[in-house]
Amino acid sequence: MSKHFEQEAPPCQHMEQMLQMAADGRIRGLRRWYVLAHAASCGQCGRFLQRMRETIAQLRKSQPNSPDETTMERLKQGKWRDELNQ
Amino acid sequence: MIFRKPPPVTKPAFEDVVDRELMSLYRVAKTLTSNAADAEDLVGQTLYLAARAWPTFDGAHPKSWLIRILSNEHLGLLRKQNRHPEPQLEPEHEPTTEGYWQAIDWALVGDQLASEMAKLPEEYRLAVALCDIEQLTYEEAAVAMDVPSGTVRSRLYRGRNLLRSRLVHVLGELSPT
Repeated sequence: MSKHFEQEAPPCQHMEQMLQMAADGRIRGLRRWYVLAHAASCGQCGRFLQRMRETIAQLRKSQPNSPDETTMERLKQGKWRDELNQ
Repeated sequence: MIFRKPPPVTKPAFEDVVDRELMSLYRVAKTLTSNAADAEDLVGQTLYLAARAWPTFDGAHPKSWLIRILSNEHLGLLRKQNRHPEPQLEPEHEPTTEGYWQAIDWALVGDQLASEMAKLPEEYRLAVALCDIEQLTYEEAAVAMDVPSGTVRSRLYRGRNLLRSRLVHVLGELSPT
């Protein structure tokens, strides 16, 4: 099995911050339009935006480190309540 | 121009806040400690301190307020143990791969994410956890981390870049949907 790796070119330096904000949906209006228009015509920025969106989506979807029900119940009834009542 | 005074913040009940934010608190605690038992202890201690301080809390951004207590408590524990919270940065690399790994199971991705998150320097890890997993605004994360929102952004972006570079061989071209 072989995997093909290549170095990914970075986005345009002046665009990175806005691309990050576009990736997590925190810019709106004209600024968002400008970023998307740039990303559509610039391969490096387009790929960067796509990869950031994927990463953020994975983080939101998989919710790493979530507790199970038993842990949640233990936390709700935790000994911090006893200490508080002392 | 007339400036109107913002409406006063309605302070919720402590129990309601605990019910609503407990899961997030645990996730952030586990992200910081990388250990289930330590995370539980940290959440317990946070809730104990928060309950005692609740009467003096103004009610604004309760989630950020709780995370700030948790984060400070974590730092205090590390100091007591003489442990430095920030691991060294590994050299950055950004390999890419073609869509071979598209069929990777979500659970595996989640495990890999948690494992790679644990390797991030703490300040980046916390920014990613708060802004991307807990979906706090930059301003709320700034309150929780007790730093300016510009610092939150720069830590978040560096953390995401590191995470992405380490996960690219797993995530590949997986669709976010």
